[in-house]
Amino acid sequence: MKSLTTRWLALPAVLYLTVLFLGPTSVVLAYSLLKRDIYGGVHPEFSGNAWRMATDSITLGILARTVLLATGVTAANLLLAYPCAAALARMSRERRALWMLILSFPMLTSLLLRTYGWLNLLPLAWRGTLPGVGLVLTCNYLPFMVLPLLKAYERADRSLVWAALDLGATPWQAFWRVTFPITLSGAVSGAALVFIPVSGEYLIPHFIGDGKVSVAGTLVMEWFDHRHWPYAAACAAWLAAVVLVPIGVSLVWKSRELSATK
Amino acid sequence: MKQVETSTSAVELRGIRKEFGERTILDGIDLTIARGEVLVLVGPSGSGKSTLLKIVSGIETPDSGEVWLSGECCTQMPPYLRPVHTVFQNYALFPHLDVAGNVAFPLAVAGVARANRQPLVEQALGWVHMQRHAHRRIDTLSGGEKQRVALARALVDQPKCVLLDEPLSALDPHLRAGTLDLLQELQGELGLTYLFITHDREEALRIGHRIGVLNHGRLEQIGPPEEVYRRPQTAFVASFLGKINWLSGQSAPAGGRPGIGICGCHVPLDGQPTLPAGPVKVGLRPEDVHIGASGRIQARVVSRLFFGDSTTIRVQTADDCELVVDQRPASDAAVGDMVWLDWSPAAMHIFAADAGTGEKEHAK
Repeated sequence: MKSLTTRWLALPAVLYLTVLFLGPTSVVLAYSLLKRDIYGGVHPEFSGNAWRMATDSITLGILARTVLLATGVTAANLLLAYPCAAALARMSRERRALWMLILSFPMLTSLLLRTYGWLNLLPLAWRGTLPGVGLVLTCNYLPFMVLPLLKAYERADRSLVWAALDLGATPWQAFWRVTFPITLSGAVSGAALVFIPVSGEYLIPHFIGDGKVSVAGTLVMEWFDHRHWPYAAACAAWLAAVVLVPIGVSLVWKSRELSATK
Repeated sequence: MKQVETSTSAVELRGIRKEFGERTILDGIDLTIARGEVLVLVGPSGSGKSTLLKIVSGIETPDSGEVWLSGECCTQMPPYLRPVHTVFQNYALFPHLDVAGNVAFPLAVAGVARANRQPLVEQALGWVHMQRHAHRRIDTLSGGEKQRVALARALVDQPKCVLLDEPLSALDPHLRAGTLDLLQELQGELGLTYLFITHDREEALRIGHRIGVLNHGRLEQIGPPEEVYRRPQTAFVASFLGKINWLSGQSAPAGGRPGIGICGCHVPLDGQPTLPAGPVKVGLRPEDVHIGASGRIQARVVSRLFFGDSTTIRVQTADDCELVVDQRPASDAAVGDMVWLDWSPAAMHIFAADAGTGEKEHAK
């Protein structure tokens, strides 16, 4: 009885996913297999043309660049967020709240304004380059990495680090052998929270990239603009596939951890 | 430059001082622990005993003073280079490692090859009777098992001194005696050196070769258990180490011999060192007072608790002195009876009338 009731509780979420996710995704997939209509939209006739275009070296190169960018931004965020979360975890409750506010303050302003702000901050030579785009993205997504890591740090009790030092571990060993494994699940969550949206980012690569940095997000946007819906749909499908990899990894990770604690 | 000394002591502390802000936590501690010795530091919470342990392990550094471990000056040495390990009150086991992984930790970080760790880990688990649980997850262990794993982890690479930070206080009462037995057994078998911190006087008296009593960051007395229990040098020590009746008395020499007047009777003293003049505070342990057909003063039985092998009797004298008396074997005195109380003059612990007993701080 109990399991039946709880199963019903999942119904809204299931409906939501079916109607608003699986539905549109199927439409996108279907569009990618149809003929292009000259004024935008599609012509209801099968064509493999869009997928031929979407598997050429240019498209694959852009996808590779997208994965590289998302991986780089995720890695940079991990490196920045670890010391940040460690410092926050050791603060008093009040000071931590203050710093969290400061950290998430930029999120309260419009993304567009922030991005224009970056255009003024960034050295001219960095504009229109992949590292420049990566820098702005890294800064933008830092809170998404810090928050799950901080949550994980709560489990890495400070007394465990003391115990490690007491038992002969250098600070570096204490980090790699104790803090890192205990906070790894937080790092995986944070990595997924950063990697997934960054690989679909459109606005920041568009403005900071100055039209010179083509990634999956800008590609999809441009080809919808250019009224080649089947090709844009195929690129969007590619992007979804790229994003599925980290989601799968973090899901497997979480379920393994869940079953291990049982 | 390492300073090396030829002393054989496992731990030597010289003039350790530590302040947190305005508060003085440790106010000049000097002590030495010989190899193979069990030194127990007891004191109420806030007496500085945990801070002292952290200073020995290196997690805290003293404001002044020196820490010598095994003849080497370690005051500025980081904790991971010190030849001591701690058994923590909350165990502090690593949740992501299994039992064997926890025990192997000190060996792993010291760079002992994997193949060489195995026999040492097995040996250490054998000491604490946990060989059969080597591959269990930490969160499946009971409190007693966790404490034994923590002990094995602290012993596996045979440190010069094991620091035990209230190792029994998180355990269920029925597990404490067994764990204390194990600690004592291992100490004897392996010739270990313990610095044992506790606020439990029975634990302290039972396991300590010597006991140091800390109060407000000072060592009030240090010595063998019998000595600190029977000849406390301060009212605080007398009060902290066991139940005691505090009576107010008067220094009353008679016929050229020192004596004490308490509860309306005069007790002549022999060979007592200089007595404080005027009013005094006299401590009498419940087991040192005897009920009989004759004695020093008469008192009425106010209440009686029967424990089978003993009785705890509360009595009141004509002068309104109240005493608690433990009688073993059990006394037959009933409530309302008039009884005679007797005690040896040597059983009286005499201090100045204003000496602090610290009873409010550790009232139980």
